[in-house]
Amino acid sequence: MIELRHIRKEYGGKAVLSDLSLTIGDGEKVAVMGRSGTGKTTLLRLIAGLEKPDGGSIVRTPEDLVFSTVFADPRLFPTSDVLENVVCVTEGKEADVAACRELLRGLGLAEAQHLPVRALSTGMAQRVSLARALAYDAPFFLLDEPFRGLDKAGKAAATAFLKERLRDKSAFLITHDREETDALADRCFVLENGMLTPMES
Amino acid sequence: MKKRHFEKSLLRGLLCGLFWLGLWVAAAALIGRDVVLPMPHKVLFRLAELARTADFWMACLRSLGGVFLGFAIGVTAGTLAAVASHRFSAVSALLTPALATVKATPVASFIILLLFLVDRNAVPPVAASLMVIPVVFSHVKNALSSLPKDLGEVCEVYHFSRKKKLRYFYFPHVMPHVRAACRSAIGLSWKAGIAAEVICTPRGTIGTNLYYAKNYLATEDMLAWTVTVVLLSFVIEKAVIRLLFLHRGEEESA
Repeated sequence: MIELRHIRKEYGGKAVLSDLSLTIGDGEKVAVMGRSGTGKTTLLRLIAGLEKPDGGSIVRTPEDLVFSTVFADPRLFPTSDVLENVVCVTEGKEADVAACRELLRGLGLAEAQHLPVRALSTGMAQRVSLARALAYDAPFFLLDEPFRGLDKAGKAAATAFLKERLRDKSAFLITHDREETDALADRCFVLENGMLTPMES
Repeated sequence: MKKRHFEKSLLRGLLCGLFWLGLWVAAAALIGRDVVLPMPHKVLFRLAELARTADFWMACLRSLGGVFLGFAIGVTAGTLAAVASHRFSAVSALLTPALATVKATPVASFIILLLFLVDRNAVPPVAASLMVIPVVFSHVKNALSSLPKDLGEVCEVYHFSRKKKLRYFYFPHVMPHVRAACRSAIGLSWKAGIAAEVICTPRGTIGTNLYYAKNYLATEDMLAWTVTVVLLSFVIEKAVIRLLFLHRGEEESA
């Protein structure tokens, strides 16, 4: 579980998030939508611990809660191939490698396993990033536009696959697509003027 | 297309070679004294004679061994210094100006100083390593200060061990810089090593042979040894590039 209490975050004296509170319970999936530059990614980075809030507090339960994270850009290791980019977050045992292959197959990347990452399209690279997050298999998923660059059919297939994998997990999802929130999230918010406003499902 | 390009550049190379050889012949004919500038064919004959002796090959091996030893020490020391400098600002404050000074100091000054400090046989490797350290240091330091922050965050969120960080994050980013440094430094260290041999005359090396050839006014010998230095320089540069680049399937652009 994660609890954000009266979070404030500023950049250059300008408040991006102000008095923002949010609780995501165990197994709960929360989506946040909003225009570009409203602070969605900042919020995800605060949850991940990559940035510190200027005010308020973040309580993670357990304290050493780990996250499977998909960033808005794929962030793959450029000298490793597709499979290695997924396996790298595991212990690398034979069973792990087999599980990673299975994940890549599930995301439509079975043929791309040994491709260098520079040969991937944006959509493919983002799916590799998603496979990596799934391979890490943390109890909490942080997903920043995980289907970026995918066409409609690809997005539908990947959404279905992710939904199945996230069944018992908590998740914080950033998206611009209402269909994604409907398919994956239990609650949805709009982030505007540094505040979260609940959206009706 | 590729073959035609190769033939064209080969032809151009041959013509350039012939031009410089022609210039050498003309200058030698003009001077007319072998002791000052012998004809190229005489130098080549002398080189062929030398190459038939075991001493010639032993001298080449000793010089190559010394320079490679110095080069390896230089790469290791330069890398370690850059890592320490990146990690601790006090080390950076100490090393950066010191290595900039080493880079700017004439190699002959170091060689003479080293001659007082270490055994004459050890001077060429040390001089060669001193040429490499500042180059590797600055390349690796620059690489470490430009590590991709986004991939660093991936290592952080997935709690990578130190070993994994080295493998996936540090090595892939730093190694191209180390390779570039090695590529620039190998020629420098070879020249410094030979210069050190000429000044310190360790037994049975190329530089020592060069020194004695100069002393006895054996210009043909001197030029034959110089040609050997140039040829070996070409060979080791190619060998180092091959070692550093081609095993990774990369195109060699040199």
